[in-house]
Order: sequence, then C-alpha cells, then structure tokens
Amino acid sequence: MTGLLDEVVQGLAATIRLSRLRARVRTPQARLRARVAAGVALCLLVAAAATGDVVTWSAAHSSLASPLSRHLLGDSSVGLSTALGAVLAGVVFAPITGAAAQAQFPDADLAGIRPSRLYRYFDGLWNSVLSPVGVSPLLLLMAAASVATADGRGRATAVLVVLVTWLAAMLVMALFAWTIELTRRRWVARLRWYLAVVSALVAALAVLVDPAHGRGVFGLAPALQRLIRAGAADSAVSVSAGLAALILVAVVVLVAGLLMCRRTLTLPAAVERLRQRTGSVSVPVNPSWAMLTMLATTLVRTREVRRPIIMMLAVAMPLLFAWIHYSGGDPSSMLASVTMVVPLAMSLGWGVNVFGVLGGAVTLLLAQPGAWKLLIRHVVLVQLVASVGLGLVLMVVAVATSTLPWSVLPAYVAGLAVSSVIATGLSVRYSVEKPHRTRLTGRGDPLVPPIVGMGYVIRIMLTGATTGLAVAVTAGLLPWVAAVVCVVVALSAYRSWRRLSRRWADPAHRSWVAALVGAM
Amino acid sequence: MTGVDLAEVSIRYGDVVAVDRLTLHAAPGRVLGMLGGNGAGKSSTLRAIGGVNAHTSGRLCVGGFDLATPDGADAARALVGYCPDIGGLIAQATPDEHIDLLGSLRGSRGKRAVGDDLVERFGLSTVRDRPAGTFSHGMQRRLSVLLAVLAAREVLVLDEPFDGVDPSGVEVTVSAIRDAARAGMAVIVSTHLQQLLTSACDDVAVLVKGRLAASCGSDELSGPDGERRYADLLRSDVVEAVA
Repeated sequence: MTGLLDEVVQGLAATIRLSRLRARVRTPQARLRARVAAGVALCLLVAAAATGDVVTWSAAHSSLASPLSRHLLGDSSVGLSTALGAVLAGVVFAPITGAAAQAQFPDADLAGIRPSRLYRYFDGLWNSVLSPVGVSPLLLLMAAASVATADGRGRATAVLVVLVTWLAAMLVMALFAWTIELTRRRWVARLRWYLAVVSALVAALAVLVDPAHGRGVFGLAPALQRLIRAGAADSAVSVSAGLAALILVAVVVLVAGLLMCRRTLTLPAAVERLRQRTGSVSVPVNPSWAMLTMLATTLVRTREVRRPIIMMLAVAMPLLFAWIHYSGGDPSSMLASVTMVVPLAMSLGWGVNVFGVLGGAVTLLLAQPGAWKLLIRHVVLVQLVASVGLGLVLMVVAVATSTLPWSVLPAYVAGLAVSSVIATGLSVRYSVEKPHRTRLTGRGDPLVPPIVGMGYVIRIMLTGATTGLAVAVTAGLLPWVAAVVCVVVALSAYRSWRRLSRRWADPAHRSWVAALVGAM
Repeated sequence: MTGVDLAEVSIRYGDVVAVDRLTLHAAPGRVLGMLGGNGAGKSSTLRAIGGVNAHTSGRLCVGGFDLATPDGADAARALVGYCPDIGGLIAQATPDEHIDLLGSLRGSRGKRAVGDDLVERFGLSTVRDRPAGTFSHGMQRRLSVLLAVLAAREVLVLDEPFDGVDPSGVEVTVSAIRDAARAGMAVIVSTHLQQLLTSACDDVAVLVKGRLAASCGSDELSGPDGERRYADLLRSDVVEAVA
C-alpha cells in the first residue's frame, strides 16, 4: 500500500508538472481563450444551479412553459432520472468509445521523460473532467438538483450531493476505461466494439425487464431523490450517511482504478489487427462527382469518423428513443434530440477535422487544376447531406415508433436543416482556419482532443442546436417567426460561406493547411 | 513548350526565408537535378512549381503560365505532374481509384490504358485494389511517382522519388524520368543521393540556404572531384551558419 501511495504522489506530481508545462507553451491568445472557456463553464454551472428558479418562474408567468414545468417539477419530475440516465450512459459508453482516459500528451512524446506510471491515470481523469464527457454530466446533474429543490430549500445540500455523485461517476468511468484497456492488452484487442454491442443489448434488455422501464434509472434516481429530500428536510444524519456512503464508494473505486491502471501499464499496448479491405469503387468521369465520391468514400472508410457516427445512429439514438418511450417521456423530445445531436456529431466527426482526415491527400488534390474549389464545396456538401439525411432517417424512425402524428415532422426537419447549416458552417470554418487545433495523427485516437472538443461542443450547441430547436418548436406555433429565423440563418450562412471561400482562395493559406496536414 | 522559369522567386514562412531570390530554368526535354542540404529550400521550390505552395515574390512560370494569377496557376497545374516528398496520397483510396480520380479531375480518363501500363511497370498490379494507407513506405513512393508521371503533360516534378525505394523501384523511376525527358517534358528531380542524381540528370542546381549556389552540367558534380566540390559547397554553408 505504501508503494501505491508513493506512486500516487509521483503520478499526481507528474500530472501537475506536465499540465503546467502545457500551459507555459501556450500562446497568449490560447491562454486567453482557455480563461474565457473557464469563465463560460463557470457561468454555465451557475446557470445550471439556478435552473430550478427559472423553471418555477416560467411556470408561474408563462402558459407556454407550463407543460415543461409539469415534466420537470414535483413528484413526477423526470429531471433527475434524465440527468442520471445521461450520466450512466456516459459512464458506460465513453470508456467503450475511448473518449474517457485520453492523454494530453502522446506516449511517444513522453518516452524520454518517463513520468511515473500513474501519471496516465490522473491525466486521463483530468482530461475527462475538462471534456464534454465530464462537463455535460456535471451540468445535467447540477440542473437536476436545482429542479429537485425548485423552492430553494436544501439547494446547497442537493448541489453537494450531485457533486459527490459526479465525482464518483468520473472515478467509475476511469475504472471502467482502465479495465477495458487491461482486457484489450491482455486478451482481446477489438474488445471495445464487442462491448459496445453487448452493452447496448444489455441496456435495451434492462429497460424492457425493469418494471419501471428504466424510468428510475434502475433505482438510482429514487435513492438520490431521497437523499436530496432529506437535505431539504434538514435531516443531517440521513444526508451525512448518504454522503459518507457515496464518498466510500468513490474511494474504493479510486483505489481499484489506480490498481487497474498500474497493472495495465505493465503490459505492451494492444495491437488491433486491421482487416485488409480490397476492392475499388467506381469513380465517375465528371470531376465534381468524382471528388464527391472520393470524399464520401473517405468518410465511410475512415474508422475514426465512421464508428462514432455508427454508434450514434445504431446505439445511442435508439437507446434514447427506447428510454423516452418506456419512461413515458414526451415523444417530441426524440425529434428534439435528433435536431440537436446529429449535426453536432457530424461536425465533431467530420467537419472540424476534415483536413486531418484527408491528410496527405490535401497535397495531391491541391496540385490538380481547379480541385481546390471543388474540395471545399464538396466538404460542405458531404457534411450537410449526411447530417440532414441521417437526421431525417432517425426522425422517421422516431415518429413511426411513437404516437406522434406525421404532421410534426416538417417543423423538426426545418429545425434539423437550420441546425445542420449552422453546425456545418462553424465546423468547416474551424477546419479551414485552425486545422492545427485538432489531433491530426495517432491512428485510433478520437479526432478532436478533449479541451478543444469542449469549446467546439459549447459553440455548436449554443448556436446551431439552439437555433435549430427554436425553429422546430416555433414552426408549429408561430410559423412566420420560424420563417424569419430561417431567412436570417440562410443569409448568415451565405455570408459565412463567402468569407470562408475568400480565406480558402488565398494560396498562402492553402499552402499553410497543406504543409500542416500533408506530412501524414 | 517553355518548361519552368523562376525569376527572383522568394518563398517565406512568416519570418523564415525558405527560398531567397532564386532564378532557375528547367528546359523542355532535359532533366534538372536539385541538390542541397536539409532546409536548403528544394522542397519549397518544388511545391511552388507543383502549384501547392504559393511563392511570396518573384515570377514563377510553368509552360508560359504565371502562377501568381489564379487562372495561370490552374492552367500550370494542368501541365505539371507533381510527386511531393511526403504524403500526396489518399490513405483510404486504392491505386485504381487514385488513377481514376486524377483522370476525372484532369479530364484525361482516356489515359486509363497508360495508367494500367504504369501500374504494371511500377510493380503495383498485385495491390491495385488495396488502400494506399496499408502500403509500405517504398510502395507509397512508387504510387506517388506513378501518379505524377501519369498526370504530367509538359513538366514532371519529383521530390525525393528514390526515398525508401528498392533497386528495382529506382530503376523504374529512372527510366520513367528518361522517358518523360525524351517525350519533351521538363523534368525536375530532387534527392540527396548525389551519384544517382548525376547519372539520371542532364543539369544540376545546388541550393544553399535558399539560394542558388551552383548551376552546372551533371558531369561536373560526378566522380570524386564532383563529390568534393559538392561537399565544399555544403560545408561552406555550415561554416557560414556557425560564423
């Protein structure tokens, strides 16, 4: 145990030292951006903690908000269940996809420094906490705790309870991530993808078998609800006992995670055997169609892009649909989720790092006559078509399997289109202007590093997803408002496209992008 | 055909001057070799001729088209077959797909038979339906050279074509260079393999710190005397840098 403690101290020290090193090598602009991002995150956290007050106020002052408040306030509230469901899904699926326990420096870069082994544990944990994987559950839990104490009584205790719950969830996620990594290194290198299928099936079965059909997140939501109510009732003993139990779980999971990490890192990295794919697609003679075909083929054949999209389409969204269906949630929230999530997933998988995915192909394409113009147009086109097309398929499935009338579909398709246009514009702009901010090397790595990803998620959610959802919701009630928003978005997209085209038309800028990504 | 003309061409990356007022001519039907140490500006020059990099100042013409204008640059790209020193392939695409894509983008799908012949010559016929990303480094270089040869109409630019290529690959590449020159193309090749370059090229340009240090017939840099002269040119750069 003393040995483990020594390693923990050394690992923590190395994590702090390397984090400081990374902060030191940042440019002043990057440092400013990091501070602004931290400020925004803090504001979001405060806003989440005040959600209960906002919902209560909305319920009292607006008839439009009443159905929302009915779902969120009182004993039939789904807020805590939704938050816990999302946290549970993150804890299970983030380690499977590899989004949990990412390193801030590639292992090869640290070969000469050789920091203490447990550095990887703390580094992965820290990166998870700072990424969407860690921040979104925290915001959801905080908002749920606030809604659960809408009258303000016991709010501080509720916030403390969800903070400890979130910390325990992060530690469980780290333990799961390192258990998967150990199993991959020792036995099955392709474990992640088998686990994804099995976990999805188990989750679907659990929702079916559970008498409450997952509404109480298998007993977790009522337990947390009781603890929060005890806080509101000033029952210090119950709250202390509950918090002590949560902290004990967190400590046990922390030690188990550390041991698992230490054991894993004594083994060589897993080598995933690649299937040798053969066969060529038919490339059309028309240059525009030829470019489109090659980009679409590249998207489909790049597993780092393909797999998250398949996970979203085949696992995450159907699970969400099933959960909403069986938990008695509002069916239109299925369409709202598609409006928000699909354009975001396409942006993170393809748009923000399209040049990183193309790599050396950028040099090849820029050396062909006129290809640079086709390249940027078709990058946008592929993302737009994929985003709207895949979203539409999911929406049709959602309406077909629910009690929703087909008449609601056009409004949400309009919302999806608006969300896709904004997300595509933003993400391709990031790709053209800052291709160096996304991870361009390391096969099998997620394409967007955690902290950069967090910034992208916040911006795309606050702009594209929110506007898309607003269009979808208002199209049914106030169609002219939705139409005005659509026109404004179209004009803004056109302006954004002109600006992007001008930037891309600059040969010096194209040279810079090609030099940056062309070495792969 | 007018080949490639560089007049006082400079290429800068921020404060770094990669190529400094370089004046050079690659004539049709001749092979120009580019020599120089690491960071001498060879690849930057070739990338600019290939239409991938923009030059900062000076005049760069390919086949009579000025690369400073967008239309001129596109017209020049249509004449040049360019093999970059690194990258230059779609990792997820097969050699057949590369050949078809280039044919479509250049309006030369009718040259498919030529492409098939080159695939045979470069020893890629057994892997023509496998993604380029699964190839060894040497095979990737062969494919990159093949694509440049296929695309070239008046100018063939090969940056480090022999890097990591086995002797049979070197032989095929040298014969492709000779064929292109015989067909009246201006060929520019860069490599660090001085002996190979002097045997494959008609003329040689030596770059030192982005400047033209020497321009001569390839025979002047061959043999022990030529090697000594080349070493002196490179060493003079080191002495200057240290000073």
